[in-house]
Amino acid sequence: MEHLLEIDAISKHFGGLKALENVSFTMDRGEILGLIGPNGAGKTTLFNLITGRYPVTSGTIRYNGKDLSGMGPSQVAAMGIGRTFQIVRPFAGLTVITNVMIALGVSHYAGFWNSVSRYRTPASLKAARKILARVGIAGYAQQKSENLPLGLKKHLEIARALALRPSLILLDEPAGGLRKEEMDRLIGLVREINGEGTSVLVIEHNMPVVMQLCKRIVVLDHGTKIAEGPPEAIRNNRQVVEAYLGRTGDA
Amino acid sequence: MLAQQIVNGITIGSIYALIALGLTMVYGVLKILHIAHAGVYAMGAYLGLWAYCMVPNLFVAMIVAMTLSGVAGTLIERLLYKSMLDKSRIVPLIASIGLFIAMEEAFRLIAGPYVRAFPAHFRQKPWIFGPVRISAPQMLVFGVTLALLALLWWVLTRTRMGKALRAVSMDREMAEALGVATDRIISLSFFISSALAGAAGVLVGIFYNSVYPTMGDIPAYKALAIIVLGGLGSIPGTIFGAFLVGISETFLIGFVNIPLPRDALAFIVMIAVLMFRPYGLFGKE
Repeated sequence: MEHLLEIDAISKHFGGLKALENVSFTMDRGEILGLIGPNGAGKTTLFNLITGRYPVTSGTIRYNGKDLSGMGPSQVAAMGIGRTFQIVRPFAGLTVITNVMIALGVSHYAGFWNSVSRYRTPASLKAARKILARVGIAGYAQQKSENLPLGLKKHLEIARALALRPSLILLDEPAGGLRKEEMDRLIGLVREINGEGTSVLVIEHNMPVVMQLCKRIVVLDHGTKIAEGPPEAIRNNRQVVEAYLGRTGDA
Repeated sequence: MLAQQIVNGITIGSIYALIALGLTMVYGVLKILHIAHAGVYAMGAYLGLWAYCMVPNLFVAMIVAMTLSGVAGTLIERLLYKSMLDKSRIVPLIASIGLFIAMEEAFRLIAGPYVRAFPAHFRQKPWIFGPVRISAPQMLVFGVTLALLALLWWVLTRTRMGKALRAVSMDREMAEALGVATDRIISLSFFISSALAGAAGVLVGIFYNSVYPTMGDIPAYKALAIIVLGGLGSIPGTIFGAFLVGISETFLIGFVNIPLPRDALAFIVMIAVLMFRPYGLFGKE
């Protein structure tokens, strides 16, 4: 069976800086895959390559067997890859439900007549409400998005990504800055979404969260993959420990 | 006298609004100051005049001028700005000024350096309400601007394109990640804003009965003053600023004998606003 996502020997150089060098891994349908590594390891760069923000320097990325090279972010989104960003950025000034409705329009921005048609239709309102209910913020639909507390803003980010009807979502540090209860709710939500068939690729610094969510983890350091495997193996991997804590004296 | 001045001020203000709105929309999506917008405005006046000489029907002239100006604006975005977006913001600004000058010279070469009259004749008698007199060209300006502003408001607030445009202005990267085809939305916003500028050009040509190569000079910097006044990128701010400047200019000429040209007023107000609210009247801090 072909993989959902295949990262095949990709490199990304910014001038002389090698942000990623020959990284390969695959992701299967229904999986929650963790992506960890110290700051500057190239995790967010990898997200930006998958979503078409930057072109790869070499290598290929295949999604459902299709080569993503040459596609822009909106095309990748339309293919069913949703993403959230490290820093939550709702469209301020717009209500929570409108934020979701913008992402719901994905199939409509293509043609001229479609894009000048009304965005607020009974069908789109219903779809948006359903997604808000799905992530547990239906009660905030008419609030201005910037007024939500951080924890709920993260739920809104996930709601917007879900509006693309994705089969894969990329989460960039979903638990960052959250309190314990907020974090638990978020973990529960990610698990539920995954249970409904959406695969999840997650960057996370909070190790307990990664260990709880993922059955498999890929570790990047200085742009290269240094380890891949189940959480227990990663925890005891010497190279990984050194990447995080620095090399201890070879005694 | 007072009521008449207000009517005249609103006429001028609504024309300013048509020009400045396009500028503010373009600033919103690309964060560049599109000086050549005033060139599109003058081009619209010439196109309207040309179409009117072919088919003496104002409606046809307006549609032709708006469509072709819209296409010209889209081409400017595609051919000029698109390749410059990742450069420093001074680069598209200078390119824009250069294009504006080139357009004015092109009008001079093609249509001649003299002022051309707009041979539109109105059989409609002026409307007279007590002391207020509204001439036929004024009615045309009101009718067309109100219709266009209403249409624009509908597009911006009710359609997918409007929401997408707002999303792109706020956070382009995020809008793209949510599947908004930003390239198309940007081109469409250039088309709409240039069509509005073209319409303004035709209206001014008819209202002052003159079309000439450098007619975009004053609108170029006055529209800039208006959008700074209203808060860069803010659409309600721009409309408010346009009417404020239009009405105050008319009052300045009508009542106060200030030894300054009327065109200086927009800048005096702009300087005052920048001193106390550098983000503009409707802008966010």
